[in-house]
Amino acid sequence: MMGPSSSHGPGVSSPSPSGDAPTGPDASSPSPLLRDHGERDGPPLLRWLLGLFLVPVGILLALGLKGAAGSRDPRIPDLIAKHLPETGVSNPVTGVLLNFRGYDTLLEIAVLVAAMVAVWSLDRGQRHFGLPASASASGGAGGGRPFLSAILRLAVPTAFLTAVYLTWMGSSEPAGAFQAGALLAGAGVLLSVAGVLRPLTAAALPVRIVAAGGVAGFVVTGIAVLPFTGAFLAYPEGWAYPLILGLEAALAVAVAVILVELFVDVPSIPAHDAALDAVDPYGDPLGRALAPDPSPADPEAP
Amino acid sequence: MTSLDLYVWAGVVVFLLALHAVVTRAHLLWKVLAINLMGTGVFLILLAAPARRDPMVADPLPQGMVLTGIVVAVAATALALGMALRVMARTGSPFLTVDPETEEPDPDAPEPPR
Repeated sequence: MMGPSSSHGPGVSSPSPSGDAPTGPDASSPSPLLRDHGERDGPPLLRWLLGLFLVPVGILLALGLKGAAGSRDPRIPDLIAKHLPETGVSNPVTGVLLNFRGYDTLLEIAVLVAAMVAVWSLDRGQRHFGLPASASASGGAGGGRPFLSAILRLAVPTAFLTAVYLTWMGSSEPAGAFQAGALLAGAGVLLSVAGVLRPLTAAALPVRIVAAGGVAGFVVTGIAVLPFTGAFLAYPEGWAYPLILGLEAALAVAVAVILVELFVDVPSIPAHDAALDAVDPYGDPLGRALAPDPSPADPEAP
Repeated sequence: MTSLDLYVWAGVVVFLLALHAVVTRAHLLWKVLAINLMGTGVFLILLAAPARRDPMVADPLPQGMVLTGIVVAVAATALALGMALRVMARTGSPFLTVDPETEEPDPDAPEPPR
């Protein structure tokens, strides 16, 4: 735990200029990240003119979209309902996403992997997140904070079980890999904030393998069914359900790891913010992100 | 006014309010949130486009597309927030400086880390 007396940039703790703060979350917060008095916003005249301009734009947009929305091919839902038994699943949304439009889900997980790589490449190895190692090591899970450890013991297993259930039920109910992955990611973020789980980074080989596993599983499956059906991602008859379930399981784990990484693997901000420590010394991800940087600044920095 | 009308109008209003904020708000956090909200407006409109005349029966196609869109929006928002943090780390200010020659630096910003 970096004490409030740690070095912080000049001006960080200077009192905020008084003035109307109609939108600022907390006018007394001196953190530059969370402070906004609107002084840099566009001039009022521009704001009003833009607002006036957007009123007719909105009316035209809504009228046009209503016409477009009413002109879709009305046979599509019936076609989906008619061919749903061939998809191997009984939930129409899962059938659309994993079978009829398998490309959707393949490219979706590819976008997640790309976002993870992009976030990871924003900063090179200067990150501070979660409780410092000394705090969590002294008291085990939760670092001697009973409420935190109680929450961890209740929430993490519950989230894990529910995630397995959501993955399993995705074939018949409104559920699936991404919902399960989001839930697992919530548990992972909780563990990261508490300092139980070491902050994930895309630099670690297991993280890369799991994150790429979703895309790789999809591509390998898609190619493996080619000799049987002659089309990419067209599952052979009778194999659709096990293949979709396996893909969903791989996707859930990959989504969870990627979401935790996106949340945890953020660039650090060299200026330490004592005010955030005073408000919430532990656990605030933005507060942790504002922890002081022990290593010298990036040589490429201006 | 049918429920389709309601969804389309709500989507357009949300989209344009967020667009207004993207243009006029200078703080990067507001811009990221506003872009996220623009996507939400588009999702509302997509959901308002059921091919069936009966709006109480779900059309799985737009629902699946919105589900995909939500995940992509989460990834894009995380990347945008990471970039905003990177800007903070480099300049010490949550505002984009358009032209360092003409624009005054933020007087309240801490010193940039060299």
